[in-house]
Amino acid sequence: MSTSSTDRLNASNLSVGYQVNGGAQATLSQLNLAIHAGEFVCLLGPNGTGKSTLIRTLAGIQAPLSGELKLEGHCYKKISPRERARRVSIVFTDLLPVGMMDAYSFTALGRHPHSGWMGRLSQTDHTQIQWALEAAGAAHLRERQVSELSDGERQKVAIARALAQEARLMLLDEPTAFLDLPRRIELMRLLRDLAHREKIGMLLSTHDLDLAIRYADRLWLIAPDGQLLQGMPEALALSGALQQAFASDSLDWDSNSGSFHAHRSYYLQATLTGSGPAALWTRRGLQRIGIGITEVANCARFDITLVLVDAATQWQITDSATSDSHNFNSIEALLKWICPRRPQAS
Amino acid sequence: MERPQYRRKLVRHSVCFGLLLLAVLVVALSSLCLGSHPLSPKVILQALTHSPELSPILQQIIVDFRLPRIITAMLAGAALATAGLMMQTIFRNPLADPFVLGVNSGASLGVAVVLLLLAPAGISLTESLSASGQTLIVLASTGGAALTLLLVLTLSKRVDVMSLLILGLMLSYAIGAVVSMLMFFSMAERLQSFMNWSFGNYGTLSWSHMRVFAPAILIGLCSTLLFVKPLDALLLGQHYANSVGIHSKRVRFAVLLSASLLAGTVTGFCGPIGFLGIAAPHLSRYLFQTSTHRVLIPATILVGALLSLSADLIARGPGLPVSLPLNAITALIGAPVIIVALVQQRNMKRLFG
Repeated sequence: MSTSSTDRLNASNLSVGYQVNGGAQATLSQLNLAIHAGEFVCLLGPNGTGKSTLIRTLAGIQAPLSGELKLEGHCYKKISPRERARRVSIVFTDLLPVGMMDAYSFTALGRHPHSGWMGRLSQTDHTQIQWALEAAGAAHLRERQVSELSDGERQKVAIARALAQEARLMLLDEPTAFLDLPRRIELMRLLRDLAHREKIGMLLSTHDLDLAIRYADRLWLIAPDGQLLQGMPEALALSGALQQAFASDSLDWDSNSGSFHAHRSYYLQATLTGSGPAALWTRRGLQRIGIGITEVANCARFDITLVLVDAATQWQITDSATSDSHNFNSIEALLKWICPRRPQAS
Repeated sequence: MERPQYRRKLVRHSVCFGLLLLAVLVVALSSLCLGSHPLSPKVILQALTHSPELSPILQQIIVDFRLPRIITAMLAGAALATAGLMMQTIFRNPLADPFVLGVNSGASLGVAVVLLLLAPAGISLTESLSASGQTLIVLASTGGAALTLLLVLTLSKRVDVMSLLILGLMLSYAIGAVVSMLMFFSMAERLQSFMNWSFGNYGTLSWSHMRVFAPAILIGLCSTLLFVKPLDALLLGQHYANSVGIHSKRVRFAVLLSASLLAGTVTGFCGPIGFLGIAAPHLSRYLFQTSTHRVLIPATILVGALLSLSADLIARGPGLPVSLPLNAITALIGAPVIIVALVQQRNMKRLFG
């Protein structure tokens, strides 16, 4: 891997892990990594594969077991903590319950590597803090106490604090862990847009495979055997690497929708004729109650057709076992009708 | 800055600082006036300006007894409060006080050894060192505090913050056990003098002691200016502090050293004085509604001095024939302060996460 001038971070032959009883216990080894300017990289991997260790090592908080680590072309060991803090900022999972501090003062802590020994803030500092709060979508929170913010708001303030540091590399360790789905999507978009707009090299570890695939410019994927695979999300999905890393007995990779599904065996099959959202949710509903969807008519127990009557959807169903036919005008009625007709799963 | 809340805060802080300063002055002046023999402010003024009209005895009472006592009370209160604040931030624990590292138990062991072990055995250090009894006690307790501090700080480099807290606690228990043994085998008369020391007293410092005490405390207080920024960063915990360029292990060592020197010096000269170091930081946070150390450190210094002066004033029992143990008064003042702060804040747990 060649070092180019836009590389925020370079690692060659890096081994990370812990010193245990004098011996080195490497969780990941022989890593050759780079994060480029304006690149949004997501680090994915099952629990306990060393994602946090890797992030702490890249942040310079933990020493690597071996190998070389360069921050914008400078060796980590050769720059002072203050100099390092101007180049790399971090956001951790913990939500920092700091009492008696408003979001503005909290964000101002990010100016430490730039301010004097007493920490007095200049006009430039105040401008930068305000910018960071706005960029993180947290400007309206600046007078609020950090301890009173919701999880999502607090994580935005934590990102504002990191932005205020003006570092060109930002490392985030599972920042979305405590957030609900809409908040997670919002945060991922925000971070990706920030990375692209401000030319920040950004590395984010997450469990959220689906969002990572949608938003990351590149994925770092820790496989079960401890290998770290790199590539565009789509390339990793097509090559089957994603499937290998995450699939298990109870989880299936759905190559049509590009996501994982809980594995289940269907006892009954149905054919489904129709299109649009109504068809999608009918399919989901049937799958949820254990009815598979098939194209082959003669192995299906039910035939379901969606028809539009006076701009409203109607569900027509035929039970091939009893030749019963019914019309329903709500999906709820349909599913309630099918439920008692399923064989009881053992 | 055009932030309205920022301006409100600035006003609040200025008002609080002004009132605190005024309160300290008022209590200090009352302390000079009140005592076993009440004196008018006019007499005090005459004494301080060395007016020839004043009788030499009154002059001596004010300048040689009451004045050093008040200065001691202010300095000791400020020192313990600041040390307590720093310890609370370093350990991220609202219950930490200046003595979490066992400094006061070390000091009490030193004093116990001198009063309970050496003196009854007929070994008189007083003559060979040609020092007065009071100076000897100061040397013993400062020495004991310093040795404990040395031990804990040596160990501090190896363990994390929480272990260090437990380490200090265990050391305190162990030393306390040794002191109990010494007390168990001592005569009642010797025990009384040890008990008197352990009650704490601001009245034992003469001007010659002050020449050591005051500079030591002032140097300690000034050194805290260096920690304003790192302490703010440490509010976020060690990892974040590191990430904004703070060398957290070095800072921790320096802060512990500074806080323990402050606490050790006070214990050495005045005996173990509890509760000020834990109450003053909480009261300051409550008054100023901030956790920024640039505000909290001066605030805590003033609050500490005020609480300490008030406790001493009550302990001397103006109008009463007896004086009360200082430690009991600081606890009686300190405990309600902590309770009020706790009830009002409701979220002291969230102070440090």
